[in-house]
Amino acid sequence: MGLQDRIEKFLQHNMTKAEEQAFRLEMEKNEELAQKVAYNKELMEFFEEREPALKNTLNQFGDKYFVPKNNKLGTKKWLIILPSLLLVAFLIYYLTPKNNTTSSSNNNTIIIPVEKDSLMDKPTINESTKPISEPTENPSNIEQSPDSVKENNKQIAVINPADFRPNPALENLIKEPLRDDNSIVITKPAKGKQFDYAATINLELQGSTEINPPFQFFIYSNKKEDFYNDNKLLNVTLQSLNFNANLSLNRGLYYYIIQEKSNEEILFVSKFSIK
Amino acid sequence: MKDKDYIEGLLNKNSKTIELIYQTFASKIQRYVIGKGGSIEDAKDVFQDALMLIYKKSQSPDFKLTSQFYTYLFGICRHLYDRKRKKKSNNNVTIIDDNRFIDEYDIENAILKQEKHTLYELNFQKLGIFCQQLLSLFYAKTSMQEIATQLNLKNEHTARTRKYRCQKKLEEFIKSDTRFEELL
Repeated sequence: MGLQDRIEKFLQHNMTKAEEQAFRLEMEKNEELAQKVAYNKELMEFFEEREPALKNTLNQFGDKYFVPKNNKLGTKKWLIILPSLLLVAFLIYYLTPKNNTTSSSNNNTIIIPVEKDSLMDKPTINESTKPISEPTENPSNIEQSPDSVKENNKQIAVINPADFRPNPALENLIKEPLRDDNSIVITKPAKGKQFDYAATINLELQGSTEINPPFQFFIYSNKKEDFYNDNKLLNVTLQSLNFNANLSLNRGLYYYIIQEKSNEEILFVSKFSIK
Repeated sequence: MKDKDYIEGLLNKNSKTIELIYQTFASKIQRYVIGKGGSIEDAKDVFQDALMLIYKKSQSPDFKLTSQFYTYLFGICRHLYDRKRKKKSNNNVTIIDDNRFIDEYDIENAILKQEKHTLYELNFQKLGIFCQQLLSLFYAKTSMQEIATQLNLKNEHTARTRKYRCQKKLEEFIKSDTRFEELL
């Protein structure tokens, strides 16, 4: 009897007691044999649990329900949209005063909480990981400081068309019906809100939901690499959908994401721009 | 539909329930995976593996769903995708143990087993139809005599020889698959 037959006889419990005992002893001494037995055991389990019909059903439904969601524009549409975007970018570039000499689209973010006696005087966002108490006027409660906030960088006023280029992955997320049951409503900022450029802009988040807090509120730049590398410009934990802070951001397009902290499920995605 | 109905439907391979599971939860998992930089194909694979895993776990008489079905499904999908993502970036794969789903259901080994089975399935599909039929019959405990009859082979001895060859071929495919080493 060949080795494969003996392994199968052992695994199918068809050996006599004496044969089984001898085989076990052999396995203890021979690691290669033990590995072969382990592999064959797994293979047998695989065939026992294979369920090809169920897998086929799952595969069919997978093909039906995992589909891109209206994220592809036809080539013809791009032939119209692309020149328009280029024209807008060209106009913005030439009509904007160029009194700054340096440009860095990634290193210019300063987050400034609303000042004392205003809506939120305590979220020292760039300071520590201590929980921050709630201001009486505003129900929001920021527990965590942002991952990184870069201070003392100078404001940049140069327009860079790349800073307004939509991020396809985030645009797709915006298009999706995020919560089918409409259990989250964001009233501020308005969809696609456009801020006028200033040293700081006041970003106010207001909304309501049936979902239990805490939530995470992230802001990303429009850059693909920032999103994929998870470089957030802002990362705060909220106890309610109320948040207010002065942000020092360059001109550009920004995306924000609200997600459930407990399971990281994305609840809401939108964008705003600073022009 | 109640949570236990999802489990029961899956256990009975009820295609209406399975479709309802896809209809209700697929977009959420797709959104999660894409949000983490994955593709639609990744999301589809993760979702399918998670359902297979739940199906197998729920066959055990000890299985008890102690959270909402979606919470359980999402927890498994999240771990499957985290492993997938870490493998892609060539990092060591460790399952995060700070998760209540893992604590509750001890699915760590089940995930590893499911990944191995997926690998075996992919390599099994590489075999020719004859070998697929022969091995399926053999592992379904069909006798060699019966296999010889069903597959029009000369005799039991021929069936046995062909079975060895098919097993050898499958082993070669599996062990030369780069993912096999990662799962050891």
